[in-house]
Amino acid sequence: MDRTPMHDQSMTPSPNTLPATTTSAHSSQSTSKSMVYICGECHKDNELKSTDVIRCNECGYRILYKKRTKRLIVYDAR
Amino acid sequence: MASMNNIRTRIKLEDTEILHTTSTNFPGNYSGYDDRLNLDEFRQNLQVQITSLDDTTSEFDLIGIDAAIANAFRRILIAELPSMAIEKVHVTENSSVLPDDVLAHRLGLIPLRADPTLFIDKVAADTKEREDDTLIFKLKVACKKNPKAPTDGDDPKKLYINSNVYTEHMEWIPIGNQITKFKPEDIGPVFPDILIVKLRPGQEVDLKLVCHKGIGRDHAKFSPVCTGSYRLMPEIILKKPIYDEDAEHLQKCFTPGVIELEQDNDGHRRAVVSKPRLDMCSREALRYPAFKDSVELNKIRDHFIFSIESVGALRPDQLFIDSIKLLMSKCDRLLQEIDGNINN
Amino acid sequence: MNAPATFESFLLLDGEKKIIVEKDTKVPNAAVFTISKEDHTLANMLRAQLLKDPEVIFAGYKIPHPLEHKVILRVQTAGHEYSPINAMENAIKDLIFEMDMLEDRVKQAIANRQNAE
Repeated sequence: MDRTPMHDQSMTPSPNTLPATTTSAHSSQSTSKSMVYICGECHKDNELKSTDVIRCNECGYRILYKKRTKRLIVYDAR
Repeated sequence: MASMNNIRTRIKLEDTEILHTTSTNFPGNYSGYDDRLNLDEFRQNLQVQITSLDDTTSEFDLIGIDAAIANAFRRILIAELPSMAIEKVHVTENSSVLPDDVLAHRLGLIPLRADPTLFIDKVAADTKEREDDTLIFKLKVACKKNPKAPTDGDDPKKLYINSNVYTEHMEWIPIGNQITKFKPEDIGPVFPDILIVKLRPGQEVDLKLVCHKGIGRDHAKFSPVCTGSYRLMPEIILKKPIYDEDAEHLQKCFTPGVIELEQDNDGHRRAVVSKPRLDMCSREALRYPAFKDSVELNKIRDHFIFSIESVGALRPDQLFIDSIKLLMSKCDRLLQEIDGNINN
Repeated sequence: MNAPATFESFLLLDGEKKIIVEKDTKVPNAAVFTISKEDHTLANMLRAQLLKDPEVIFAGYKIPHPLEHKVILRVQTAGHEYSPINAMENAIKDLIFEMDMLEDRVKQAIANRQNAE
């Protein structure tokens, strides 16, 4: 299967996992940086920051899913 | 005991076995026969009869060739004639229920209307999309709720917009000189109504389809024929006359149309072989002791009934001519290589 | 993963020869032709054509392994004046002649049919 490896900014939400040296450079955005997750129950998009509770804003469901990568993936039609 | 000539020219169908299946008419095999290659004789015996021909299907008889040659044509039709097919799928969005790889595989099998002779083979290492080896299609469809949908119905086609993605949604993106070289009707899927995937509101596919030229030996999606096959002409011999009830019974043993009943001068109905070509060779008649000694079933060894069903890019008669040309170029190449070998 | 490259079955590798002829050392007038990137399509047809030659006393082929895209064709002829290479050349020339004739007949049949319509 011809799949490009996933290394996507949109897939790495947490500023805490970044090395300490780079956090200072990103600190201005990292606190405000948020990710969109999809609720497992009501399928609504939820924009959550790393400090937020993992919970749907609409229905309170606690299972959230990541969105699909915005990267292009190439498949062999075989 | 079958006569020598029968062994040479007929395949005999017995109730539990099939006899004399392989060609044996080679020089030295039979005394009294000169089996060396005689091209004049070949020219006299060779016959081509077309029984049906239209844009997608064809049936024709090739008489007077060896099974090895007929089989070579069949194999070339299926595995070696080129055609265009979707080879790479660039997925930017696919929220349908089909996983990306399954969707890509489905797309690959879509038959495309594009003359393969106007394209060249893609060099494996070359990733650029070139006008002479690549076709590009865009498939971007999103499903929405239909605001004008009737409230009582449950038909997804009425409730939603774009609930089904068909091949007609594929949009050809010309690259380079393709816009002047081809008319829009030259390029596209063969059928507009092939279902690719079903969507529900909120789901979307956004794909770029990259098509290359290839041959069936690489992948079946490149094969330009649905089926390319041959069968041998059946021969049914009634050694003794068969009348009335027996004749009706015999008629039922064969495919409809093979045996007809003829009114005799004495007021009896007699079985006659009418169209042996229609017979599917079930050998049902040989199960009955009454017919075992009066019916002989054969196949004619050098009479091939070819049938070609094109996928739709090229006409079946064109495909067969292409297969002859391809076989010739294979022979030419080999001859050159052998000559080169002697000189070295 | 570890699947063989798709073009391996029909493209000659770098430095690979289309055909290699080796003389059989044990039997007189015999040669083994190793033809790369060919299969039953060509080999069976050649075999049948070679057998039509009265000077050929043996012609047979094998495909040693389904993942090796080559055929091995062995030919033995009757006399010293007529080598297996001569027999092969004649067989191929006859085949080309037959193909030519068949192409004419097919084109004629198609033309006749179109005129009749």
